This record gives sequence, structure tokens and C-alpha cells, in this order.
Amino acid sequence: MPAETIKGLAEAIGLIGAGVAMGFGAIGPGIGEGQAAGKAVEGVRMRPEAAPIITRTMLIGQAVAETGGIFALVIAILLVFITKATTIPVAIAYLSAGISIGMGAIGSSIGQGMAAASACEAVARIPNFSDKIITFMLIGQSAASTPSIFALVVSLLLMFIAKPTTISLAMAYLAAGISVGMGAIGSSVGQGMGAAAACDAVARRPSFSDKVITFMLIGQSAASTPSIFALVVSLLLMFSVKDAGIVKTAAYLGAGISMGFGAIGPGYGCGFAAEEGTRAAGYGFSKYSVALRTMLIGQAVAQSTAVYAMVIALILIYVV
Amino acid sequence: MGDIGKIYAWAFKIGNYEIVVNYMTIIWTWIVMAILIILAYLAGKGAKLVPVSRITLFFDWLIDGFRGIVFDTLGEELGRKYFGFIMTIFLFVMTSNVIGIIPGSVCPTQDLNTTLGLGLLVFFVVHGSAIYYKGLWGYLKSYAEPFLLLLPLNVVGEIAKVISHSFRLFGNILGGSIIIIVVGYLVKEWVLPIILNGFFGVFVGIVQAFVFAMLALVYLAVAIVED
Repeated sequence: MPAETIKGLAEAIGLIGAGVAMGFGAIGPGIGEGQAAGKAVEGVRMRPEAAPIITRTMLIGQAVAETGGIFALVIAILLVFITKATTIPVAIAYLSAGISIGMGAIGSSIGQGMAAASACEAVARIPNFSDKIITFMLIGQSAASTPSIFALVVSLLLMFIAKPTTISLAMAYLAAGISVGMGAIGSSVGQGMGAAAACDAVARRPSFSDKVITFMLIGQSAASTPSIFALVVSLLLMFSVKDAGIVKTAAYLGAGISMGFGAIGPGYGCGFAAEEGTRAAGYGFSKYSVALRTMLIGQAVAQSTAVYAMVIALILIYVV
Repeated sequence: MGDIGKIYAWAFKIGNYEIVVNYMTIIWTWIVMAILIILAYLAGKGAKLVPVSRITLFFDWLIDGFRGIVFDTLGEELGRKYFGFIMTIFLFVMTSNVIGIIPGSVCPTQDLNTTLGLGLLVFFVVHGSAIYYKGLWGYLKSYAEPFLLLLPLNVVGEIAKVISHSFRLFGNILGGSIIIIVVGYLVKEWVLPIILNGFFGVFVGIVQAFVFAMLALVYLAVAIVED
């Protein structure tokens, strides 16, 4: 191919990355914020006199739920205006940056939106506790944004640090983006479920708020474990692989897909346990440590498939 | 932009072994320790029956809240034994995270060596305590619970705990610092980095320190509390 064509093609692939970032990145905020708006309308219908405070809660929650979309927008703008790929491997790294943040933004915004919806409902029920409910919502939401922050970091590393020189390395970087991007979806929705349960619980029994926040953070951190595995695999794919033949290149890609898709289910599933655990704490369930232990054991079993996915990914990177 | 993910390392050789020292991490860890020691001294000086200094009141409030959580989870007797450990981890990690808001600083916790070290410390304390309280046989038997088939799952799960425990802290703090660097570069260090420092440095830093300490406490409780 003549040099001009390669240059043009490289730039084109980078621009596709921008489209992927914003296109996929727009899915989550829309769903999440819509959920919050729906619950806010329901709340206003039931308690019209509390409309201002419900609207305020909704707007704060929606603003946080928008973070993922803003991350995607920033990356898309950077890919369009700042970075310019001149070789095909670098262009693939840019595409991967787009995939990473685009996919990574889906889950976190949905999860944060669930928390915001639950907070609107809770404020409509007890407007007097709105400060405490909003605080809980913000803490839960910030924990739920962890996976999308991982995705953003990997995107930035892919854009500014990784400068692959061969197609083989570029495929490893593509796999890194897929791993952390897909891996973020389930975990952040799961964390959002925990945060939503906490907002609901604190409005029922504010005196148990210490226990609620402990349960919420522990349940959420178990739900975020699959996305941490995805981050580990994608960092390994970015910084520890060497240029290799076609078989190994395919293995890198397989590792990213294994970890990325393998993390979706466990993260989401752990969210159910986090939700019920937080609810148990909020309802003043007295057998505190029994509930905690059951939640953790259940989550550990639910996570086992994510561990298998990570083991297979590591084998694909280092052994095959 | 050049400092994204930069590791300040200093390498030298002894015989055939190359030794790498991440000097910025070590310097800032010392600074964190110095801050904690000075604060502890100041707080201890005001510890009278009626506390007078604000710093004493602040630490009274913090330690009281934490003691409640630890005692609730571990029970009175064990709680008294392990409270110092959990509280120290929380104070160290929190100070290490929040110190990132000082310009030019490097959070010790954005170095994987620190977080993995803390994760391994918790791992050894938890497993050592489990052997101490349950006996070696009881400890080994706990891996075959609820039934024998889950043995490999339990073993892998224990290793996965260390990875997720240390990488959660590392990823959050490193991520925050990278985002601050990139956004600061894009807006020419204009206003926005201050807000981001507030969010990632202070808010996320404190929440993650709490999560880290709470997880250490829960792992400990699952390993040693019988009921």
C-alpha cells in the first residue's frame, strides 16, 4: 500500500474509535438518568409539596450519573482533535481507547442512575432526611464509578503512553481495551444495586445508617472485584507482552475477550447479594455477622467464574 | 503529560542482583508517617478528662466511631485486640491518599508496592490469627466448608482476595492522579484540577481508605469469629 493510503486508513481507524467511545458511552447515561427522572416524577405525584427537594435530588443524582458520558465525550474529543494516528498499530490502540471508555461508561451510569432513582423515591417518602439520603447516594455512586474510572485510565494510557509498533502489540492493546471496557459493565451495575438499596434503607431506619454504609461498601467492593481482575489483565496486556507471531497475537485477543466478558455476569450477580445485604442491615436485622458472612460467601461463589476467566486469560498471555 | 504513570525509580546492583528503589514512594511514606506521629503527639497532649484542643476532639470522634464498628464486628474481647491494627491501617491509607492534593506529591498508595504490601500484611495477619484461634486443623478444615468439593474454589478465592484488595486501592488512587494530570494539561491547570483534587484526593481517598480498612476487618471477622 502507498504511504498516503496507510496514513489515511490509520486516521480513519482512530476516528472510528471516537465514534465508538461516544456512541456506546451514550447508552448508560440515558438509561440511568431516565430511571431517576421516572422515579422523581412518581415521587412528585405522591407528594407534590416536596417537589423542589425531589427535583434537587434528581438533578444531583443525574449529574453524577452523567460522569461516564462526560468521560466518553472527553475521550471522543481528544481522539478527534488532539491525537492523530499515522501508523496502523497506533490507530488500533486509539480504537481500543474508544472501546474501553465507551463500554466502560455503560454500566457505571446505569448503576448510578439506579442509586439516583432509589434516592428520589426515598426523598419523596421522607423529605426531612433528604440531606442524609443525598449523602448516601453520592457515596454509593462514587463507589459505583470505580470501574468507569479504570476504563478511563486505560483509555488515557492507550492514547498517550502506548505507542505500539507492530500489529501483534496493537492487538494486545486492543484486547486490553476490550477487557477493561466490557469488564466494567457488570461490576458497576452491581455496585449501583448496592447503592440503591442503601438509599432505600437509610430512609426507613436512619438510626442504622452506620451499619448500612458498612454493608453497602463491603458488598459493593465484592461486586467491583471482577472489574479489578479486568484492570489487572489489561495492565498486563499493555505492559508485559512482547511482539509475537500470529498464534500468540490471537491468544492476547482471546485473553482480553475472556476476561472482559467473563467479568460481566459475576459483577452483576454480586450486586444482588450486595442489595439484599444492605437491606438486611437497614431493616435492623440483629444477626449482623451472619448476614455479612452469608453475603460474602455467596459473593465469593458468584465470583468464581470471574476468577476462572482471569486464570484462562493469564494462561493465554503467558503459557500458550 | 510526560509524567502519566511515571515511576521515580533508582536502581543499583549488589553482586548479581539489581535492586530498584522507588524513592518518591519511600520519601512520601516517611512524610506520611511523620505527619501521623506529629498528629498523634498533638492529640495525645490534649487528652485530659475534658479535652481542650480541637485536634484531640477530632481524633476522639474518629476513634470512637471506628471502635464502635470494630467492636460490633469482632466482639468486645477480640475487638480490643485488633482495633489498633485496623485503625492504623485506616489512618495510614487515608493520609497516604489525601496527601496527593499537595502539588508535586506522589501518593504512596499509587505505587502498587505499597498497596500490595498492605494487602499481604492483612493476608498474613488474617491467616495467622485464624491458625492461632482455630488451631492448624480447624484452619485447614475451614477450606473444605461447606463441603469438600469447594476446596479449590476456597483456595483460589483467598488468593483473589489479596489481588482485589490491593488493586482496588491502587487502581482508584492511580486513576485519580492520572485523570488530574490529563485534565490539568488540557485546561492549562485552570480551576478544574482543584475540583478534581477535591473529589479524587479527598473524597475518593477517604472512601477508599474506609473500604480498605473495612475489608481487612471483615476478612478478619470471617476468619476468626465463631458463631
